[in-house]
Amino acid sequence: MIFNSLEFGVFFVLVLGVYVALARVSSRRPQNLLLLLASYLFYGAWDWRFLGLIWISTAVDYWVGLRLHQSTDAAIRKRWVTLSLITNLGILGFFKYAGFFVDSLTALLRSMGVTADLGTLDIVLPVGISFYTFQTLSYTVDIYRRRLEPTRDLLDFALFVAFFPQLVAGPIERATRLLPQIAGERQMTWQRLSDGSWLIFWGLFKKVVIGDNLGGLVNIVYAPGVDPFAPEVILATYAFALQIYCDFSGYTDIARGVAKILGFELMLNFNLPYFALNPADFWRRWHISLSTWLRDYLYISLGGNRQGTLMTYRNLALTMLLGGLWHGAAWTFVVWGAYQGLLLIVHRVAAPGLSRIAPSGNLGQDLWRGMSRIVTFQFVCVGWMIFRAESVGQIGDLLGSLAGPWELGLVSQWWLPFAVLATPLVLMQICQFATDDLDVVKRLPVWLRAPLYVGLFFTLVLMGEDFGQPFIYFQF
Amino acid sequence: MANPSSTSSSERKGVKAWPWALLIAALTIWIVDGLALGVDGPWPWLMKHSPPRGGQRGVVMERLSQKEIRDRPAETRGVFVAGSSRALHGFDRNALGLDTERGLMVAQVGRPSMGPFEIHSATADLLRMNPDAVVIFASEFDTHRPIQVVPNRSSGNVTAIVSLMNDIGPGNLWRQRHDIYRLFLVEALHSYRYRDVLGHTILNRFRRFRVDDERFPKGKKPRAGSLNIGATTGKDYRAAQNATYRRLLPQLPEDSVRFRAQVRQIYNIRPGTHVEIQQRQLRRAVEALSRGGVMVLVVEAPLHPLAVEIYDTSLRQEFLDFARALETLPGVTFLPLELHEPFTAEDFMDLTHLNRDGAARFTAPILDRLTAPSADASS
Repeated sequence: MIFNSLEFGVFFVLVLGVYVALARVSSRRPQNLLLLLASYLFYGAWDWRFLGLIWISTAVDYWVGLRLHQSTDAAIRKRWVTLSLITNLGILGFFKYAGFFVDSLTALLRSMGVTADLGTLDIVLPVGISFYTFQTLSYTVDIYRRRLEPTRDLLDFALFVAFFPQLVAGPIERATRLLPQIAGERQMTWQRLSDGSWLIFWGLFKKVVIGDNLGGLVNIVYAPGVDPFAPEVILATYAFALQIYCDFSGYTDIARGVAKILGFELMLNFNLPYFALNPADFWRRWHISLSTWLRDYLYISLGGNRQGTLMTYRNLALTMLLGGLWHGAAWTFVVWGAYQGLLLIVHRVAAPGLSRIAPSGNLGQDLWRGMSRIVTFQFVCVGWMIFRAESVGQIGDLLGSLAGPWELGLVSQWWLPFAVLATPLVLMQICQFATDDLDVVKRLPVWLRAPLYVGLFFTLVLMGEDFGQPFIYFQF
Repeated sequence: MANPSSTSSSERKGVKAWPWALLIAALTIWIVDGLALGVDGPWPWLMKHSPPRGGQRGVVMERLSQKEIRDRPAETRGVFVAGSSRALHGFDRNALGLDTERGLMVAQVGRPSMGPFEIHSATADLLRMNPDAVVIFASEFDTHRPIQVVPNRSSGNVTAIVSLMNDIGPGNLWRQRHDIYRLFLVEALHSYRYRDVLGHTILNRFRRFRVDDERFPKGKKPRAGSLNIGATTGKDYRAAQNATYRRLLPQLPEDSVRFRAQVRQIYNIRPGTHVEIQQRQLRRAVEALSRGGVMVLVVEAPLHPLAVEIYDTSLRQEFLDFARALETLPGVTFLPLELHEPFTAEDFMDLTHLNRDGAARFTAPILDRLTAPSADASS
């Protein structure tokens, strides 16, 4: 069941109806039970067999959380947290990376002239496993670090792990944020309904109208074996930059909107990432729940920036490399992670010099910042080219095609749909950026908002992709 | 960095707290959707400037036909002819010059593969146009073939959808639920129903990236989803179908893609649980029209003599029994093939469609019925 399906609409309306009815007659516990059952149904609709993995993570981390809290012995506590790490990362590693490592090892041995039949592991990747694994790991690690008290309510904890709006593609919530909301009373108001509906609607619009349609162009140019001209590669890469943003931020918006209607606040996951001033700023704005997770649980654990310049660079590189691998078991993601690490390091090296040559005065600074945003966006797009490529070889081919021939090719036909599809997003983002307010639409007067909703609605119905394309981040 | 706050800073109370923008937008959407894509929508303009093709042409023609019947002169009797492409060819009013004859305004509502459920779905729209009669083309070719409904081509009609859900049973209902959702959406929104038509004729150029360069492989176009019940597939089935195709090939004037598709269609005519569902849907359509005080002629449409060889002809008897039972409903008449001289290969353009001469011969007795004094009395 995916957010952009009619089935999810039916599912959510039914769940919401019962949820509201329960709110009138009872306390939050029956509501939580309903949400938990709905979450398992939501996940089980994809493949019920993998519910077992969620239950294992839930049971182990609930138990480990209690034990960690009870124990004062550092060695014993370390053992408990290791159990949680091994269980969660073991499941993730097996289902997500076992096939990749076996294939890579086979290829490596073959390249060395050794014929080894290690077999092929045909393992289905359980949807959302990377997201809920990181979420539940943060719970045990936070308790280990004495930053969080464990919950003693298994129902609440199970809901924290499986809460359906963010179960399969985040945001990766922290227990410190979500558990108190699950354990506490929650408000359902007209205002929340209105705000949540807008988030759902705008998220759906981004996904179904902009993302899925631009995906058509991306699929043409990034198909294996094609020989595109440079302008075609550039346009398709810009299209992918918009597609992946609309796809993923669309999912997050829908998740946040659904949660908001149910009385929960999920964390912001995107904050105008393509307006970033530099690579570090980009990672403060893109997939915020993952980048802060990597910062708090990996980068800082590695030593962060406390052990000198070289170690800081090493930690940055390792964090981004593993962040890349988190996205998928493929060498393209490893290269992408390495590229992102390199960008961060180069920016860190160049930042003092850049700030020295930056012009002073308002106009000069504005121009400098504008240029910085444009240049950063180009570097981000090179990253997306690596990310989207089907193989490492294709990355080379695509970069090679940028060297020539510079014929327009099909860009002369493609620019119109590209411009039409990109315009609503660009306009919205410019408004949000100019007003420094992501919720700018909510603050418009009713007489402006209503026609905006009408226009977007008809565009959604008439121009949206109809057949429920899966979200890109589901594969991670 | 932009303000990430998404909680409302000022919680309003009472009526002011209502989501007015949403409510106003919902009301506007409902009104605009109904008016802009209703019977008086942009269909004549579309037909003139960007005419749709295939099944989508039928969808637009349906709107034009409804408008024609609704706006007909008072002294003229309005007749809808409903059915699949066999009805479109078998009762081609332009080819037959029907507009000039006998004070009848004949309008066709049909498209390729329009089946009993779609006819049932269309009845509410048809009745709103206040017709005097509805002619339904049907035979075992319609009642014994698998159910296949493309939501974006079907009319929306809650009664028909609910009855279909009831007919197909829980197993099919679960398997086909996505198309059922879409059927309901068709009922709720004209814009969803006509999105394919408007897309193919106008809007797709603003959202689709065409590939007409040999450097790129042709991508697969998204196929229209459809509700399917009763279709048979499998190796044995395909082998038998191909054998039939090869056997009949020498007897036909020319090979064609259409011929192959028709063999496939005809091969699907067979007994099964789908037959009862199709018959129920057709019966409900006739009942609805009959209840609406409309004269209903169920006419048995002919098939090419070769086509009849392909399937079990005893199925025809099942259809005849079903169709004759319909005559117990007020204002309903069944016109079997025996009403006409037997049709020969010369009367057909292919395996399933009458040619112009065949259609003229087929139409004559139907017109007689429609203009008979008894028909006037019943209306």
